[in-house]
Amino acid sequence: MSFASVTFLIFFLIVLGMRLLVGRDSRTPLYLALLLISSLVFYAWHVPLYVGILLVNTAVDYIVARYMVNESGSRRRILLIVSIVVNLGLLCFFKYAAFLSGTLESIFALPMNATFFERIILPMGISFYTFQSMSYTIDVYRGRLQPLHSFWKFLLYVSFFPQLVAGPIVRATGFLYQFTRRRRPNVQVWTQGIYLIIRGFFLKLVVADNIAGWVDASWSQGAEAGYSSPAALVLGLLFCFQIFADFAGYSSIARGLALMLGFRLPLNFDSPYLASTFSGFWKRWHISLSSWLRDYLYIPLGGNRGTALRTGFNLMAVMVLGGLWHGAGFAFIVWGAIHGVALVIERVIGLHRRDRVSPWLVRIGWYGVVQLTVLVAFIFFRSQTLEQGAALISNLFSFRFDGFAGLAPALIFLIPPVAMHLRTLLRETGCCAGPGPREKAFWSAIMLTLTLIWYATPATFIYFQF
Amino acid sequence: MRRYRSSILIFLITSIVLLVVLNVIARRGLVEGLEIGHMRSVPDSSVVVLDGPHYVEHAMLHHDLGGFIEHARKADVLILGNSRAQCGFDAEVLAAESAGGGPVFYNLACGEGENIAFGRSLIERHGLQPSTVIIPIDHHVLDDEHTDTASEAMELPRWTAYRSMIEGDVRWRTARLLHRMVPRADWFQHPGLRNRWYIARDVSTGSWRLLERPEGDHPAVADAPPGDVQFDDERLADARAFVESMNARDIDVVFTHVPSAIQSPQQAIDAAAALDVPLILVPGGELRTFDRSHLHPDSARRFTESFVEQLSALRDRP
Repeated sequence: MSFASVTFLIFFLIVLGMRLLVGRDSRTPLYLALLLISSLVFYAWHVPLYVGILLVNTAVDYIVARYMVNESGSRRRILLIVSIVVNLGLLCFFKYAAFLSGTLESIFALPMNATFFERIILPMGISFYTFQSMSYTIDVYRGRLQPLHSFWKFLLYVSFFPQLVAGPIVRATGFLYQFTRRRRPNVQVWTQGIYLIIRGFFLKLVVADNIAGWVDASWSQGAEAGYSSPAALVLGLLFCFQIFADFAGYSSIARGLALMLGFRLPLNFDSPYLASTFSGFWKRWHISLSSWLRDYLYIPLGGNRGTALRTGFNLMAVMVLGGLWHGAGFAFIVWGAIHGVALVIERVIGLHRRDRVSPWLVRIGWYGVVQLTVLVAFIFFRSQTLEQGAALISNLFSFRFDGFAGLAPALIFLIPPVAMHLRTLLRETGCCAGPGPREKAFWSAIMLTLTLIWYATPATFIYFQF
Repeated sequence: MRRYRSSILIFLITSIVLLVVLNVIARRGLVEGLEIGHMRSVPDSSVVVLDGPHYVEHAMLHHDLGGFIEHARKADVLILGNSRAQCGFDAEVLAAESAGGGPVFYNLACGEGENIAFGRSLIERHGLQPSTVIIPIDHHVLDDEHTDTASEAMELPRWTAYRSMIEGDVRWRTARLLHRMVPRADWFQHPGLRNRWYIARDVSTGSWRLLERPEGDHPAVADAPPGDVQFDDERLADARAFVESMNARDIDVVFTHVPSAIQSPQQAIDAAAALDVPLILVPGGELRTFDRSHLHPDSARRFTESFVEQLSALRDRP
């Protein structure tokens, strides 16, 4: 079920009504049971059968965690491996089997029956809930978390519908405690929730979906020979802001919905295009994924505690796997690899450390390099094939100045996200405080009105496919 | 609470002022592209099948949703083909012919360049038994391989198809209700940016009821160019296999051609001659299209009247 649908509006109003009726204290077991049923209905709306996969995933992790706590040594490790194999096995089957079989078939001419795998519909949100579920067993393995005694609570943690399909990837340590915390509906929380929801829908329906019209219509042309540099640059910029508005919009709606239901979800986007370093970018972009990869992959691999070469390898491995997490395709691998190489170079130069004072000109120059690299990487991310991405990038640097290929009007949709970034910049530099309730109320009214009159035909959230 | 009371007031007052101002602007037509109350209602006994990018009619027909197939079962004459067949055959003329003692027609044509493969699959899957099948030949209609749209629809789980149907219909009806009160901005539109086709499909006739369509007026030139698809050996083999499969089910096949400015009737003439299938041709000289491809409603009426007359004569022939 997409947030941007009438069906979801009806669904959410029913759930909200239930909260007011039986969940005024968010700990109430009946309320939690209704939330769980709602989450499963929400998920079943996509493909009912795939609720089974969700149940298998969670059941395995729940059982493994319960047994693991009483074990030690190798048995404990074996249980963790069982959990990881089941989780990643399901993820690989649904997400990568078609890609792997197709690649093997084309390279080695092996009979892999790729068309069979291509027909399998990817269970929505499998990448997100797999990581979420895995974080629970790993934290129990590490002794940072006591296993839950209620399977239904664990299932609700994994399937909680505001964040089930496209995150934020919520850690068990940051969510489970909320089951026991009393939180009554109040005006302050609800106004904040409504603000986040309106902001999210505005970003999605007005900014992302309107930009999508231009990007979808022009992307193939952008890779054709003779496409002008400014047009290619605008096309890249448009996609950068489309994917930001799409995903940050989703995350904002998810946080707002969760607040109204009595739960807090972590911030997932923090004005990423303000980042002046690559490491800074990953502290602002898809924060819940980058911090997951840091804590459950980068640090176990050794992080930056080894030699420079080892650190470089770790960074590359994490970023390439991060790219692959997004989807089975060479374009995603290249996207991750570009970020990996950029992080390594930045570390070698020493520009990743904020405390290292560099001349302001160097910092501004590096900001330009960072954002241009992000744009180039996103061109691969959006392209159907590596060739298409490479052709668009070569057009970007062809220095042919033949106008904007009709894309100039779309730049108007960049104004809101750019203004949001500038507002954050002013706050971060201490020029002004963050928006207060009245300012939020004013902007909410503007954004709601614009959303009602200027929404584009809703397209699926980009991250639903991951 | 007092702090938030003022915030709520700011929110409500700003929203109301903005909506009132925009309402006045839209109703007085002060800004181009800002419209209000412009969306058509969904006609009775119809389902929205195309709403921008959301296109569900293949899936509905394949999975027998919405009641279309039930009506198709009662038809004596089924019309297959693509969007030109949908825009070319006037449902009211066909209904009048049926009411006057003629055969019962049902339009099973689908958009997205649909062809005989999908039509045949519908006939076989649902056990349809018309006496005659009409194939308006142009473009890729004689291809016997499923289009991407048809393939995707056929692979779709029934539940997903059903859900898409309901959601598309509810979406249109809700948007129409909303935009009777709140204006709709439609700025920066250019070709290729947005699909301007919005279609409801009548359950009892199978015909499209266009809720919105691209504007335009072009002649359906009689001597239109041959188009990009020629009648080659491969197509001949496909067409022969189709005709034989229909004949094996005691179904007669009749070819025709819906005039347009982008495809001449030559393929239809060649196919009919090669396969010895009756052909009904209506001269396109004075007919008009709205996008060089699809007939205007007035022209569709004239085309259908002429077609029905010729079909009647053909069926009366011993």
